[in-house]
Amino acid sequence: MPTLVKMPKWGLTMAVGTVTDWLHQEGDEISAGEPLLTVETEKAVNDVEAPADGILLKIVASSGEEVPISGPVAVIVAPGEELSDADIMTLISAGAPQRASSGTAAGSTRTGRGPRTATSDDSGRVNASPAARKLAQQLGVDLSFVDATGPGGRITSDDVERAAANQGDDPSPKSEFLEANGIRLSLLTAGPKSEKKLVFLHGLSGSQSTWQVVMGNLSGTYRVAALELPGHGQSDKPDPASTDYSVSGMGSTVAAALKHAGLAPSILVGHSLGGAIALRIALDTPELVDAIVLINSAGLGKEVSPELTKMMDREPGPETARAMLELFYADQLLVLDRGIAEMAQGQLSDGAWAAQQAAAQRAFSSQGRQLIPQADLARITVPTLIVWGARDRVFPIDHAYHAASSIPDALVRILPASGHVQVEAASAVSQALDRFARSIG
Amino acid sequence: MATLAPTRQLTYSEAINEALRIAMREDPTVILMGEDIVGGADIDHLINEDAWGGPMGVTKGLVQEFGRNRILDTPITEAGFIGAAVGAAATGLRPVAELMFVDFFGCCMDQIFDQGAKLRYMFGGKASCPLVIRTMIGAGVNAAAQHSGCHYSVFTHMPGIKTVVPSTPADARGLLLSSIRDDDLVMFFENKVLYAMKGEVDDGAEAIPLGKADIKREGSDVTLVAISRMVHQSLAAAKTLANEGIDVEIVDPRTLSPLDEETILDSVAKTKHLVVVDEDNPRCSAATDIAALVADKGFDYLDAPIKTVNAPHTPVPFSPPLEQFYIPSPERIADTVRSLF
Repeated sequence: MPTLVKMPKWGLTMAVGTVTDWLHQEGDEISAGEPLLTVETEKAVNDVEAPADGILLKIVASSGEEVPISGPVAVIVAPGEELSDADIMTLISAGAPQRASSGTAAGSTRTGRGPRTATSDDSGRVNASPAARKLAQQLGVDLSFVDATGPGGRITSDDVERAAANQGDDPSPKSEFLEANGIRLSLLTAGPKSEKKLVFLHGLSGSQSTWQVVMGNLSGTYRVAALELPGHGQSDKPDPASTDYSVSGMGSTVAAALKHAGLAPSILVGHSLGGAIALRIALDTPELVDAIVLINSAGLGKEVSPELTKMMDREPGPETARAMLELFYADQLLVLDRGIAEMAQGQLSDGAWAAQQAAAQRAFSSQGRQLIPQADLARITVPTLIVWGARDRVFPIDHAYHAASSIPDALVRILPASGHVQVEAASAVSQALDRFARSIG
Repeated sequence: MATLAPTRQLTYSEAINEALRIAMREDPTVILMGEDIVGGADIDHLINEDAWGGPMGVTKGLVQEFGRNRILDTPITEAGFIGAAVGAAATGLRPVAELMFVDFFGCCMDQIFDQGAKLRYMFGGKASCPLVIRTMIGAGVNAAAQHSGCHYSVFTHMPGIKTVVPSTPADARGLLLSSIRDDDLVMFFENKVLYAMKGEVDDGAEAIPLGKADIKREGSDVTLVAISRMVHQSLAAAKTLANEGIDVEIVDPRTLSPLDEETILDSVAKTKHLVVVDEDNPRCSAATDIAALVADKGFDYLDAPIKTVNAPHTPVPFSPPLEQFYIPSPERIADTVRSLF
């Protein structure tokens, strides 16, 4: 049995990897688990291990080549096993990624031919029919991402139509930027086209990466999107002197972004500061919201950890990030160097810390004032799920019960072992979100 | 709801005969000329006999109604009687001349191409040539290379000539009426294999305008532009292909000059695939002409290369198996269509 070595997927956002070095040559005997090649992604360089014992028969992607995830990289055979070129081709094409093939191919009723990667000539010109080219131009479809059903790997107009219909439906994660209220925001989307969309809003000093596991769990069923708040992650970090970093200011920017990205109405899932923003949007523009999920959310009570507000006065960087994460996590073993480095990077990028300080200042400066006034909670009309890590040291669990008794249509789910961050109970959070989303409309 | 006109089953040959009769009744300047078209009935004592009426019997029975002054048997000399027909047309008659087999066009091409087709042009519009030349085309009856060609492409290439290629009895009748009434030289190509074919013809049906294609089968996946007998070969292929999920549209241009570009382009815009089926030889053919039209004006409609199905670039073989191989078959048409998907 030949084994196809495929480009691995490291992390939710990885779409392609570049082969940097082959550690073996064709004909080498190799054993399962030994490093076979190195691959570079946007974030790292790593070894890819041989998935099976045998002979490295064929290197499909040579050094320097970019390969989409799951794309063929090499073929391993058992010693003595022989494969014809046609066998190798079949193996590779069967393993080729099927990017926009989730729907039934319209063309396939005529031929029984499934979609496959379009062929292209030496100059890289993709094999597409004139009708397909014209339509692709009209619909703004990039032919290099359209699977082909035509003979010889030619993209037909049906293929383009299908790709366009699936464009919002490309289940593979896609990172993009969009502009709202003059601020460029980073948006990560994944999952199939679905009536039910979940939009995730991270907390103070956080980024979309906090949602990786939850989004990964739900992206098979729902359209999921993570938006990075102004001053955070890859989004713009405009000067606080000229930008409103209050919950309602950011709420209005997020609301504009939702409309712009075709993500309204949706189920808004907000963590911490993101929760307060979700509440604000549900109050100010309820038409954009099907439901809200508040995870250890800000805004539901008067208390906030004074430690956190003090941390926001420190210098940004690894130390501050470590202190924040130690405060956020119940299980200190989960405060990993990687998480610290990532948060520190998020604080140290140009303009970020000033923006995050401004956001914290506006949200938490006056102890004794509730960010979302009590009377407003009673005006929330959409179904609300409150998820709370019981060991949260930023906002006490009382906030959850308090909110549940104020918001008319609210459910509470307590995560007994978790702290301030939902990452500690990602699968429980995913399940709760799935059940809640099912119950909506 | 409109009342349906009563219909009859007529053969292709009977439909042509009927059109000739109608045209001759309505216009005394219409005359027929050709080899043996009276069919022995011009012998004095046989005038009232049921004479043969041309080699295929198409003009049978006309001499009894219209007499020998209007139905003229001619010597076997195409240069002579086609030339006479051109002259008659230029001087006030509407002759319908029968060039028995199109393969004989070499004998009378000067009369057709350099005289008849150019009269209007040479006299600055003051002369015309309202002549119809009926001629037999097509392989399939073991008539060998000199009696089996199509050659309508040759005449379509020439300015000043209209070319008509009817595929059904109703089309033959309606198009022949328009051809006779037309003030220019019309080459009217009758496929000999179709003469015995029956089809419905409306009583009192109007003439069919030249330059108007007909959709012989509606479909959504591929356009077959099929000429003359190839309409029927394509219909058979369409049946097979329908079982495979390929929905074929068949456009019958009915006249090659003028050509109904709009209907062809509209159909390709819908189906995005084109196959032209043409029994004529492939080079510089009606098929390549239509393919070029779509490549030029319909390029962005296409989802696959344009394909043509023609006879090979040889004369028609006499050997019956080779002759069958020569004629584009439903199987060859279906295979070509399959290659597009």
